[in-house]
Amino acid sequence: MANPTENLDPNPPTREPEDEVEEDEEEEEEGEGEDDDAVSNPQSLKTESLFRRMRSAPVPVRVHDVIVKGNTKTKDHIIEAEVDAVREASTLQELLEASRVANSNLRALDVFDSVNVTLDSGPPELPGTTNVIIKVVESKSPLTGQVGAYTRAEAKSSSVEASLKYKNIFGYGDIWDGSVIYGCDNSAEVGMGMYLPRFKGLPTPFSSRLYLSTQDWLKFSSYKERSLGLSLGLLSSKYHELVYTVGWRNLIDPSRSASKSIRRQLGHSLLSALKYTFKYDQRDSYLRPTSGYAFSSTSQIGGLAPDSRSLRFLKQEIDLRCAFPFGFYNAALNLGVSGGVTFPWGSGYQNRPSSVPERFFLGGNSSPVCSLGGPSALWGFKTRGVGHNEPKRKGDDERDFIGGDAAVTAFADLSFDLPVRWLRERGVHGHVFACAGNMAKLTENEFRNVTAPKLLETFRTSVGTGIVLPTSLFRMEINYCHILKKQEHDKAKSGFFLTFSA
Amino acid sequence: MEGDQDTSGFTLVTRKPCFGLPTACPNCLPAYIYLKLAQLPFQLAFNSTFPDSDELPYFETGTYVAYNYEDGGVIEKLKKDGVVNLDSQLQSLPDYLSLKALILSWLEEALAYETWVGTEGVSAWKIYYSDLPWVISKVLFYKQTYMAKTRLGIIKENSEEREKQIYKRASDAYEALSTRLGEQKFLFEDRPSSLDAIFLSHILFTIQVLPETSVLRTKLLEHGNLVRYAEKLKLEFLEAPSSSSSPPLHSFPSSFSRKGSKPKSKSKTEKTEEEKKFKKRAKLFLAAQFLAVVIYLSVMGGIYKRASDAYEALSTRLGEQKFLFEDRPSSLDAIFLSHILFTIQVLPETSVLRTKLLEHGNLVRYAEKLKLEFLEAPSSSSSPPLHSFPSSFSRKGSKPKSKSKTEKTEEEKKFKKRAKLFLAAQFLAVVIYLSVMGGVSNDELEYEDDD
Repeated sequence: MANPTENLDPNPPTREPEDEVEEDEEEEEEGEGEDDDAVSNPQSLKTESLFRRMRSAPVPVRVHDVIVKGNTKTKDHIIEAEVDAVREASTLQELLEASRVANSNLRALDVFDSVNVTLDSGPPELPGTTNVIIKVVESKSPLTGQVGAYTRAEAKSSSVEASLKYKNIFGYGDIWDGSVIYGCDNSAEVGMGMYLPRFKGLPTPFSSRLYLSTQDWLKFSSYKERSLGLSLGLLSSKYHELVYTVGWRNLIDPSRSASKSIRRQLGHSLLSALKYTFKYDQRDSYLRPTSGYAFSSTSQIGGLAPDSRSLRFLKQEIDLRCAFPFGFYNAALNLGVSGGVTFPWGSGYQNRPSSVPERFFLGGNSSPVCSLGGPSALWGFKTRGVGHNEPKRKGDDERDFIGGDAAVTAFADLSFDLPVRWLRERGVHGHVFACAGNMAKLTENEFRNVTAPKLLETFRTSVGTGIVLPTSLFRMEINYCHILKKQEHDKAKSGFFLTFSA
Repeated sequence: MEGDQDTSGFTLVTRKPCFGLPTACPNCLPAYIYLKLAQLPFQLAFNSTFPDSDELPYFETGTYVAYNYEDGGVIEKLKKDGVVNLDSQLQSLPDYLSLKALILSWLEEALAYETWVGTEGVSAWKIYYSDLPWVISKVLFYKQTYMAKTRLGIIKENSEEREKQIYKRASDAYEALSTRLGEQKFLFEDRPSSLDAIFLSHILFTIQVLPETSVLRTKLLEHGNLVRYAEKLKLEFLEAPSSSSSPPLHSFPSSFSRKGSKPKSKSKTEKTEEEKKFKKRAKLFLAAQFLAVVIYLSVMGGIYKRASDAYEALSTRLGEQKFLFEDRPSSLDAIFLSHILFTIQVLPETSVLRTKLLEHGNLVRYAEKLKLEFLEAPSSSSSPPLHSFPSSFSRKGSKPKSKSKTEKTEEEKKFKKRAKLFLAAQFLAVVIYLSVMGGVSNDELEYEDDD
């Protein structure tokens, strides 16, 4: 799109503000149009003059009308809703900025091949006014496919997703997608989603997703989780997200080797939960932060159903990250702490155990530097390799890790450029790190046995160093970890590890 | 019990209690009663969120777990693993297997039918789904009802007939078991067995869980001695001596007073009629047992093991007799002979069932004799004797041999002969059945081949 300000003549002619508005509008009509139209010298002078005026003082202008062109299928109100700020602009500067934002918003709808915002002069009888013309070209091929790597809030690790999208079927900017997701945490999901940029009176887009997912934890905790559910994105803005999920969850053990605690949890349950996430991330980069800080808080309440037999729980997770640049070798120190707690609610909650899928599990192949999803990552410790564990059924030497109701992790990571230029150009850098984590059981009256000295005494810690390779899909780390402290049965050993984060 | 198990801390995990029973699930109650009869101290834990699991009930101690899906059920697994075995000296008794077949086939089938179909799942809803949210409950209920109908072989076209068959068999089984039990305390002598556990569970479930309109319940209540048997065992083993919270079983059906529920004063004439009835019932019982065994062979799961056990029991029972019952042929001889002839002459030599049958020489000889006498003309010697057919048989694991083209042609001829023989055997079985059973009332001996 031709940014109105980009095509303005850097040297607009000097004119009286009031007299020059109309002329400026004429200049805008000619000079702020399509991309690279050549302007004549008088036009160029006018544009320069306009720029000088804009630099010196606000140039008053009033938007008379917003005209939408090119939309054969898309409803007018969908487009106009994205350009509300344009109508309210009172100066040329505001109008240009609002036009830029409107252009960006319309492109973000992902249903147009191109978007052009043009400022035209208003009716001659109304001086000082302008018309905003929005010209869109709707997508000729509404069906698109894509493959990507992501870190999803529901999962605790990265996943690869392949999706097919059908856009703007009904003209409301709606996007329908079918996707298959495979996660690094042995999960697989098939889902269908629908996204609406405007839904009734909601200020933010509305999304819904019908999913069927399987998570295979047989090797670690002797159970498989199957879920069929519907997830509704009620609020989604830059900092806030509110999601309601209702689903049928089933825990099974096809291996028939589960430990006692897991055996007791097998069966069906109804999940009806509301999750609110506040995320404030001011770091300069998600994959290699060198400055800034981030804070995330996720609160979840389950059991929001008329049926008292649905799964009732409370869950709270907090993440804090800070990055401090050192100014040499692009070095930065990243510090982070994550904590979480979950507890059942309802009658007899003190004696009831928490639901295993809601518990915290530490360990895995993701990096704590990137993830902002509660306490989970711990370098050097294998997936679900930390915390409370029980012997499996007789005849099986393995143990089931059953998770904790509360967990905390902390890390320090010093990243730096490598002395090889070829590696630096590709973003490959090194890092040294240290991390610590622990978890505890609180339910079934176990919280009485939890003391700070005992928690500190049983903290797991590790240190290490490695190389970080950022790719277009994910961040890969090749690390050497040394386990400083672990507990009996923890699945951790010093050696080389790969981690993936997206 | 296995060496390193914790001998304290036994736990039986079942579905939740309901209807005044410690666990109302008909699959879990036998295991509970079995442990109570064995007087093994244990704790009870509940899982009320997994109605469609085949693992429940399960018994655990330390890391040892006996799931219900293994080895024919929790009770069999506990016996096999040496945890607790009430049947150690009973399994060799000839009646044991036949009683077991009767209870585990006809009665279990009747109970499953009544729970899921006959009473439209009214009781099942409370047993399995009361702790699950409504949506999940509904879906699982339809799923389990459908699976029960599939397991029972019920389709729209045959539902009425199948219902009649199931109720008839249950009625016959109650009759037979009532005769067998009399006023004894246990089914076998004075010691409890796993069959007491299973049968007691059946009675308690039928009386306390099924609604009063249940046909099966009504049929059971006609046998007062069965109700008394259950009442006594329930008081002695399932309830604490001081507890009197659950009403006696026989007071449940307050509206009933059927024949046989209370002893009546009898005249001399009635006693004579009673004796005649008793004799008929005794014959009925024996016939029902053996028919159930034969049906057991073809229908029940754990097929090869149970078939092997059935052959063993029948071989023991038959010995070198000419017929199953005394010196007179019966319908059971017809059915059993047909089974043997088909298994030996029609099934391929690689058949496991055939191999198992051929291990019992007396059964083969029995079939050979009857075949020669009833199925073949005296001058005909065209069909070779049964025991020479599998020239490499009479031991386990006979393997098929490679054949030449000439042998294949002979195989075809043999197959045609066998097919004719099988059809003739079937026809003759029907004829014998009709001729021998002509003097007995149809009400008493109306059996149908389960196949």
